[in-house]
Parts: sequence; structure tokens; C-alpha cells
Amino acid sequence: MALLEIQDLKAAYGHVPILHKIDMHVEQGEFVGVLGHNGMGKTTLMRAIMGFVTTTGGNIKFQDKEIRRLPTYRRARMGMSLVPQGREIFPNLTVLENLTVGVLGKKGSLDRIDEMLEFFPRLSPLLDRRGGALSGGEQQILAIARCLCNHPSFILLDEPTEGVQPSIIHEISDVLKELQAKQNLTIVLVEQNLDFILGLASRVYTISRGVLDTEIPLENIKDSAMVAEYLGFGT
Amino acid sequence: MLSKVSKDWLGAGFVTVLGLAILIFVPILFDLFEVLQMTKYVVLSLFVLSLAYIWGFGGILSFGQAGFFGLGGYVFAVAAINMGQTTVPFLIAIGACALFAAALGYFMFYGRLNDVYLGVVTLVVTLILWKLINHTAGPEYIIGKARLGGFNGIPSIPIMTLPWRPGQEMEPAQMFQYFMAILIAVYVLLHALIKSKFGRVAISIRENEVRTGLLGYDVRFYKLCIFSIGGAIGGAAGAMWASYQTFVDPNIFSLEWSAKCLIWVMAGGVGTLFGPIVGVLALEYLSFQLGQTELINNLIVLGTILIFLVLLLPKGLFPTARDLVVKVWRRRGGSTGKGSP
Repeated sequence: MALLEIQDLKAAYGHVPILHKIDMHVEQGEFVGVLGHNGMGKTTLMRAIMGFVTTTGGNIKFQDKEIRRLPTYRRARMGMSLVPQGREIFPNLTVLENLTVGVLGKKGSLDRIDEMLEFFPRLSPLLDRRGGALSGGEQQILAIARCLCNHPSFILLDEPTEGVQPSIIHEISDVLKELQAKQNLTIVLVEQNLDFILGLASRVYTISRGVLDTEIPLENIKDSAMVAEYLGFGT
Repeated sequence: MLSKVSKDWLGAGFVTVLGLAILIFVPILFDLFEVLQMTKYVVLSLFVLSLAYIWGFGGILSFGQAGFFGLGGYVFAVAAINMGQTTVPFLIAIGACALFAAALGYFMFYGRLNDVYLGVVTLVVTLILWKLINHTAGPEYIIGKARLGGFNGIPSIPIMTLPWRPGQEMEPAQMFQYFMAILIAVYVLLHALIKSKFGRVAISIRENEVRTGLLGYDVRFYKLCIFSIGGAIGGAAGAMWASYQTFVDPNIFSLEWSAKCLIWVMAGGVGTLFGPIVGVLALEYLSFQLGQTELINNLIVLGTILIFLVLLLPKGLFPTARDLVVKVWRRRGGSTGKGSP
């Protein structure tokens, strides 16, 4: 039984259809990549899975339960989490307050924050600093740490390397590997950075013009001509 | 952790001590007229807290806070005239306003209204109430012993009594102290709420609703609670206003009151509790002083001052003054945490 199973999902912004046909499945503990050019529907797919884009058809099953009509907060409470593109941290709250909001209502919240600070020691000296005053890379780390504070079992990462310096990309990559290994997390990663995806994902889907139904073998990802063909830009 | 708690309560503790000193010394040091004038400021300070909380700490910009102010006044008036006492009517007014806010908020938040649309709905509801009450002048509009009176209003509203002395109306000094005690209590409770888990989620909603929802919080429910708390505080202020004036008329629902409330919050500082109280005191005192001169229309002077205030001090009076103090303190080599909301 797949942890996440999506069949024939369609989504639209108002009357403009964005996702035409999404078919994918993700097993427990898997690290799956989604590759696609700008404007192909990657971010919309993440938002549709989390429930804040209107879906117009199809099914989304999580833990074998149909969730397409559930509100976002109910999906989050089932263990799903999204680190959105552009981080979307709370810029006027301090780093500590950002993390605290991530664990509110959970038992052992302070322990969880300490745990996150061990994973991301870069955040420790910044606890009293406002989120908006952090660098892009630090904000990305904060966004991931806050998402993890909530003890999710399934994480969607939307272009976490966008505008982030290489040293922090390595740090994020190492932590994600460690977390997945230690906590058996299931992760879906949307990226344009091929090396980042190759270093983490065990399977990669391609999305093109709102259609996702094809897996690309990992060995073909380094071949740009093959990737272009998978993405629908082949000659 | 203790030092964090201490920092959180340092500013609020100072404001509370200041409030208690005012409560004790004002009736001793000032004459009757000044005590009455200050009682008015206390009631308006409570009124402004209702908007300061929902706007500054929940991101809900209501253009119709006068709706709760007026409803609280009318519910208190009708209940007090019928019941012959004031303590239970005061609680009824608070409860009615909280329920009205919850009902209105349900349609707004669960109907996914946001930003300017929410502001327009709150404004329109207030104007509907104003129109509705204006049309209740006929003798058929009577609830028990209380005639609504339409545009003539309701006269002879009972003056508040102390809960433990229901038969004895308060003297002006007692009323000032009673209202001041309520203001301090509401300020402390709101401060505690802001620093609680609920308050942190509310601030997160103000910052980014979608992100807060993604963390597993039911944003609509939180906003409903915040709005209802604001409604209850506005209703309490309305009931106190009706008792203080011993009269209430439909103008309590007017656009002027809603606009004034917004201006006080903006001038004092959005995102603080003490700032809007400073806004009330500064602007109402200024308005009072200008009203005593006959050289120039005081509304023109007040309007000009407000324009300059918004342009030169966009953060508001209190946050600007606080930042200035922190800057001077740091230059002198001190260190400081965050101030009080």
C-alpha cells in the first residue's frame, strides 16, 4: 500500500486549468523527486496535495484515506507538511518564535526544538533574530526546521535550493539524508537542480504542461538530451 | 526560560503599576470635572483595546468596531432598565456582543472573506445597525420597560453599581476606579493571551495565514475566537459608555466612532496594546483642548496633525518612542530585550 497515491488529479486557478493529469505514488520511507521546467505545474502540484489549490477532479489518497476534500490543516494534522517555494517563514517573528509555532500543541515541544537545533546548529546563535533578517539560506533552513518541528511523516519540499548558496545546499542535503535514514521520513522533492535531486531521490517523476505520469530512470538524468525529451522539449 | 518570561512581562508590569498608580491617585489629586473627563478616556481606552487586539495581534482589520460598542451600550441599557441593577446587564452586554461577533465572524471567516472585503462587511453591518436603531422611535419598539426611542435614544440609563453593593450607585471617583480596574484587568488578560500558545498562533496568522494553516492550525476557528474576544471587549466598553453617559443614542453606531477607533490605533501604534491607549489619550486630549479655542476649526487642526503623524511616524507614537529609548540605551552600552506589546 502506497503512503500517497494520486490518480488522475486535475487542478485549476479559477477557470484556468493548470494540472491536467497527475498520476503518482509514493511508498513509505521513499525519497521521490519531481523534475520540471518553470511554469509546468510543480508548485501547483505541491499546493494541490496540501489542499490550498482547488482540485477539480481525481483522487488523492494518504495512508489509504481519501483527502482531496479535506482542508489544509486536517492534512497537516495527518502528518503531511510542505516547505513552500520562497520559504514563507514568519519574517516579523524571531527564529525561536518561528520554531515554537511549529510545535504548538505538541507534547515535548521544547525538546523538539532542541532536537532541531542539533540538526541545524547554524540556527542556535540566531534564535533571537527576526526571521526576515536572516539570509536566504538561513531562512530555508529555518523553514525546513520549523516544518520538521511538527513531527511530519511526509514532507513536500518545493525547490529548497532556489537562491541558496552551495554550502547551505550541502548542509540541507546532508540533513535530509540523515533525517530520512533515522526517522524513516517520506519526502517528495520538486527541483530544477539536477545534482541535488540525483544526490537524494531514489525515483524521479517528470512533469510537463500539467501532466505527470512518467518516471525517468536515474541513469538518464545526467543526459540533457534525454531529460529534454522526458520534459517534452525533445526534437 | 525565566529571563524570557521576565522580559515578556517587564513592559506589561510597568504599564500595570502605572495604571494602578493612576487608579489610586487620580481621585485624590484631581477635581470632579477632571475625574469625569478621565473616566471618559478610560472607557475609550477599553474600546480601542478591542481593535488594537484583533488588528494588531490577529491581523483582522475591522472598520466596524463601533457596531460592538453600540450594541454593548444598547443591550446594557435595555437590560439595566428592566432588571433594576447593572452587574448582570453588564455581563449580558459582553456576552451578547461576543455572540454577535461570533455569528458575524462565522459567515466572514468560514466564507473566506479577507482584507478589504472583511473591512467592508464590518462597516456595512455597523451602518445597518445604526439605520435600524434610528427607525425605532415609535411606541411599539419597547423591550419590557425600555423604549428604544429611535433617534432620540434611551435616557436615564442606570449608573453602574459595585457588584457587592447592588443598591448603591457609584460616585464619580468610584466609577473612575472601577472602570480603571476593568481596563487594567483587560490589558493584563490580553497581554497573557498574546504571550500564550493561542496568542503566538494568532500572530502567525497575522503574518501568514496560509503558512499557519500548513502547520496544522485551523485558521478560521482561531480568527473567529480572536474576533469574538474583540467583540466582547468592544461590548464591555459600550456598556460602560452607556452607564457613564446615562444615555445612549444611535450615533454610538456611527462611522465617526469606527473611524476614531482606527485612527487611535494607527496613531498609537498597530501591534501594541499600550500604544493605542496613548493614541486615545493624546488625540482626545488634543481634541478637547482645541475645542476650547475659537480661533480655528479644531477638526482642521486635528486632521492636519493626523496627516503629519501618519507621514512622519508611520509606526505610531508608542513604537517610535520605544525604539528611540532602546536606541539611546544601546548607545550607552546597555542591552535590552523586546518591550511590551
